[in-house]
Amino acid sequence: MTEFETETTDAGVGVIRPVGRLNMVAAPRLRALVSQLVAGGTARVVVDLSSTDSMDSSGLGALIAGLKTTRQAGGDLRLAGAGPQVQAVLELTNLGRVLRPRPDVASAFPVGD
Amino acid sequence: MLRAPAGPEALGPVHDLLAQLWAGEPGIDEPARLRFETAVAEIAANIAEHAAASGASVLELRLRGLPDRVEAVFEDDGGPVAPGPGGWPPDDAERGRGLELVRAAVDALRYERDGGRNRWVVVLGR
Repeated sequence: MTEFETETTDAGVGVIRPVGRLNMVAAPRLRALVSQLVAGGTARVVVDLSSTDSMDSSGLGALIAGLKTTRQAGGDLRLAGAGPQVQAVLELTNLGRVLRPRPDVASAFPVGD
Repeated sequence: MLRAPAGPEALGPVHDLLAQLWAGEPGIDEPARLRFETAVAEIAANIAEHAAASGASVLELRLRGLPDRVEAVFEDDGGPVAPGPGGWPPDDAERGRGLELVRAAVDALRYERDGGRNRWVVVLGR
């Protein structure tokens, strides 16, 4: 069962950390978590994938949904800490150029961005 | 072989079966394993997602290592699968990438309708 850890940094960036597999079971919850953050005024969101074992096309769809939700609110959704399987999915789908993964949470929204 | 209800609850056992396959296939490197696992998980999810609509109740999965390839064979008892348009959807699409992802990840994907059953074959060459 995939779990989600969430926090908000001192800089006001929302961090969502899916733990386990980001698949059709977990994807709707990821969408809901991003929507909750945005509704609460946090439109800059990092999805920290460092504890995500694998991601399928449903998980990818939830990231695209989150990207749209945050940008519509004037923010952005960025990825951090993607492991080799998630990197492979981003490359195979050619969506790495859209969801540009960063090495870690700290570099996802540099100070002043 | 795995035989499980055609639903999301089959996804965990699919990963367990993959782990068993790799235990007997030390010659396949990590990037190739990840691509095959990605493809197999995607087909399993595809069957699970459409099970209710297609009437599928049971999913079967066989994984095997052959001299020139590793292969996953899925069978389910759901209705026929209508082929999609093919090709990648637009960047902002939230659905419709599953089968394209499979085709990109492995060397071959086949779909057959056989005796009232659906069969998906995922092939990774050595």
